[in-house]
Amino acid sequence: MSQLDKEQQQRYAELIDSVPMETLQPEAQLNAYKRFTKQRTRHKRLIRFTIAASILMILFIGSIRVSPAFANAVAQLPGLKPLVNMIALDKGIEDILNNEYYEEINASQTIDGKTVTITGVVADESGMIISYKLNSNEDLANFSGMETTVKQNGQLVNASVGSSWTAKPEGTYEAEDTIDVVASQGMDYSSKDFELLLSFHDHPETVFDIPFTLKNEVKESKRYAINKDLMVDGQRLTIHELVISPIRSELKMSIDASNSKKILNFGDIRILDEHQEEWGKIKNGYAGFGNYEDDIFSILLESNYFRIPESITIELREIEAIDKTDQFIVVDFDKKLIINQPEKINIELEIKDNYEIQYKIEPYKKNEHKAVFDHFIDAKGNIFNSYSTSISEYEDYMLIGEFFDLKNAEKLPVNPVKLAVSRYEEYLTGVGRIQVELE
Amino acid sequence: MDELELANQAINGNEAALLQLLHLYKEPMYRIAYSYMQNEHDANDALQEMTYQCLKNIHKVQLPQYFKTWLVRIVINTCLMMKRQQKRIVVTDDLQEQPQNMSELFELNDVISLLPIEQQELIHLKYFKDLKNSDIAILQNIPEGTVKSRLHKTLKKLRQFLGEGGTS
Repeated sequence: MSQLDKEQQQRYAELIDSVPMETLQPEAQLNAYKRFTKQRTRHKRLIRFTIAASILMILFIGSIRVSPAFANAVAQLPGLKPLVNMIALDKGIEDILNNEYYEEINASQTIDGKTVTITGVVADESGMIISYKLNSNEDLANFSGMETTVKQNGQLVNASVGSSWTAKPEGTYEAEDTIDVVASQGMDYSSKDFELLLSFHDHPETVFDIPFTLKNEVKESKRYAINKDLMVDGQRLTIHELVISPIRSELKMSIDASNSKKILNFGDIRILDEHQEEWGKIKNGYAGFGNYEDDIFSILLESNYFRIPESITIELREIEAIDKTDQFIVVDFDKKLIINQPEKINIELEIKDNYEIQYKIEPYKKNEHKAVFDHFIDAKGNIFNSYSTSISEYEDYMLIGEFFDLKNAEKLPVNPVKLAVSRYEEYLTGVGRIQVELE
Repeated sequence: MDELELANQAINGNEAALLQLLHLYKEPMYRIAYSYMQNEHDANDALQEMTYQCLKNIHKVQLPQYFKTWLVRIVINTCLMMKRQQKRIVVTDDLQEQPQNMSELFELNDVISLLPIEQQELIHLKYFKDLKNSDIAILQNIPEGTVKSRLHKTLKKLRQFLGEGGTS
């Protein structure tokens, strides 16, 4: 018997081994990857400026910063549970709950045994947090995600709507979470009638359409003009305005174009109150509007709208920056030649076919996986964005490969091109700090 | 970096690690697909579809140890789904030239695909990157003895399907 078992196993293994490998098309996996990134890019565009990332994090961290008693008490109230979960990362939410700045909605729709209920909404000029609950007759473990949109007067709201979906364990038939609406231009509440449209990726044909109306007063954002310059390591930054809304605060800034360094990233921004206690910090998942080169860009911070201090101190830390003279590596893709590489940018760069680059770089000190370049500029000034990145970690270096998006380009890039450094672990020395009287 | 570490990084969102793994397992995945789909065209389609499903659903994997089991399940499910869809298509040219050993493989696989998914999984897991019983035990978090007896049961069932007796 066992002899037969072995033989049969052996035979199947042999047969499988003899499957002709030359028929395997190497494009099969590449096509799948392209299809995946294409879909993701579409999705990304929707949520790029939302705080969806922070919501995702919460689900993994899951610890609650408030006292368990408080958390327990409010978690009993309908619709508040997902918000309480958010407190772990965003102190401002605690304020929202403490001040009962939350409107119960309780509007639902049932289709094919699945019920979506909007349990409540937090609304302000910067956007909305919509709490919802799902009850399903099908195991939610089989669901892979959902699409959400919000309409007002039959039109899509002028905002990005982000929702996240974390895999549910088997046997889950009920779930609660939030949908984030982020309006960079501000929300319009001249009509308070909205509609939430929601569909699951796994049942795209079924679209839940749930109207809801806000009745409570929407708190006006508080705007504080700051208009102060600050110097960090010889670089000039301007902080224009702080806009505090219940859900989030927005710091409007600009960077002086005549600086000698190019700022790549703000690693850490904190706001302290007059007692030097932290009032707000950069939102987890880090989001903002606009690019650093823009006349004005925004960084979204936590908010404590209901506890406006007399004065605040804004601290900018871990500002990643490189000399402007070091910001480009000039290459020729045709000749596979590096024409100019700043000494400072310590990478071992290789030019491959099809506008692919590959480089070795020392592992980052921060546990991050970001590519060094995010676009290149060709000799005619056209910009080609990095399209896909692969990062492999080895013991003492990382091997990063980048492709650039040529599909949407009308013409092929003209050599030589300038690869723009968008990430490099070099920081400005010191902390940028300004104090602002709010009252 | 070993496979487990790669899997760990992959499920933590490191796409490069996932791509590396998919590349690493490309051949065994294709072999299994081929045995189900029975021709290179559909096998390549299946490989593409399963790669897409892996990229899309990697967040569903919770522990790196389960990555392989999960992958095998996707491979099988994708193939079974594609075959179900094909059933609706009328086959006009059924007589494709196949080497002798391939038709034997397809016959054996036709029988395997009648088994419950868990048992199909077990069979392929075993041949997916030459897993040993002890590896499967770790993967499925069951004692090695259980793996053996399950494999035994599976193979017994197989023989029944194949009409080779097996009534103990």
